Amino acid sequence: MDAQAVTVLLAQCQAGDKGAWDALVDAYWQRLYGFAWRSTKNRDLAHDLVQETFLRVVQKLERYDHRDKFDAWLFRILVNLIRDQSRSRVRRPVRSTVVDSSTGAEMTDDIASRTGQPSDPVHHQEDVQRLYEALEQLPEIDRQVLLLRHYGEMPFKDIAKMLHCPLGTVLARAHRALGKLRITMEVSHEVE
Amino acid sequence: MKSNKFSQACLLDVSGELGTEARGILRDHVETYPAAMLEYDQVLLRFKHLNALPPLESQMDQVSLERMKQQVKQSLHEAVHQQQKTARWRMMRRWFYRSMSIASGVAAAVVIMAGIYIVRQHIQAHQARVMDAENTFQEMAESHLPYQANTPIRLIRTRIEHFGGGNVFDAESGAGSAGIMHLFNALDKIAIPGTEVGESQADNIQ
Repeated sequence: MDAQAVTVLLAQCQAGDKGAWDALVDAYWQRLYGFAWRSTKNRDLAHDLVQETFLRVVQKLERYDHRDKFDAWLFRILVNLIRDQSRSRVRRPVRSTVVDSSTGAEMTDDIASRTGQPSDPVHHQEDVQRLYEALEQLPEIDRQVLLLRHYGEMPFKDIAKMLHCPLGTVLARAHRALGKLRITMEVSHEVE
Repeated sequence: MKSNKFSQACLLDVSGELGTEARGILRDHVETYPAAMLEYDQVLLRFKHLNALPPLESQMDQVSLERMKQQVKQSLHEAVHQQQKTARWRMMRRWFYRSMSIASGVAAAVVIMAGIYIVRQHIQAHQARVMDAENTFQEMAESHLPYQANTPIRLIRTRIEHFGGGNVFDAESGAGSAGIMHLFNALDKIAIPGTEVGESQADNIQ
């Protein structure tokens, strides 16, 4: 969605048009959810956080500076929510359960994410799982950059703006994180 | 080109964020130097790992995704509705306070104007009473005084009446004659109530 379309959509949202709010959710929900899910590793929590992000947008849209990129603003809200949540989670661990539709058995979200969908033709599940584990081993800020780039579909330039740091720093982090990811993947392949 | 800057430029290129001109320069550099080509391939390989992360759709069924999206929309509608309600209530309250302040301002102005009018009326009434009192006092004073205007002539006339019993003195015709001087001297000797004997009135005329 280009900047002008976003501006028009936001104006309609501010006017109270519920259809415009729906369009906004359609445009951004999946990116936000993908990022939140991979960041928190918990579907329910990710869903709650994305919902809360949109509710914050409803509350704060009047204060949104249209010179900023909307994507960056939106993801900044989500990143802050995830950060706040992870702080409180350190004090009080949360573990959600997901019901497997095929077997009816309850499993933790962690296991659910490992199982994945059997119909996935593109990725080898073990490789994907290894990739996730490699991601887990990255420092939080480096992981955040990669997830924002991949699931948030944000250009590095916008990630830099969002995280309030120079583009060079973000690129250096991404480069370093991708290097670690590759090493982890190669090591695990060698072990097998 | 510095190594780290070059890696960053490669990363931007493989991620599709490099501008056309910069991309052309980078490609020229990569094609010129084999070491640069090697570095570029390394960055590309690393980036492919990131792209290997499966998209959301492949990990969750479409129904669940759609259901969650609908839940978000539903809660958003409620929040928007609530916000509109709050905004309406806030606006009504603002209007209420504004109209109340205007009404109280008008009422205060009316009270002040009425106060000024009453005070002015009171002052005017007071002034009228004072003037009436002065007039009454003046009328009363004038009515009780034995002489009013042209007192010396009247005094003479009264004295003549006391003196002669019927001869009226015409002051205008006879004020300067010698005979009248004698008359005045004689008049001075006559006692009149409120005057001392021998007090000359002729001096006033002279």
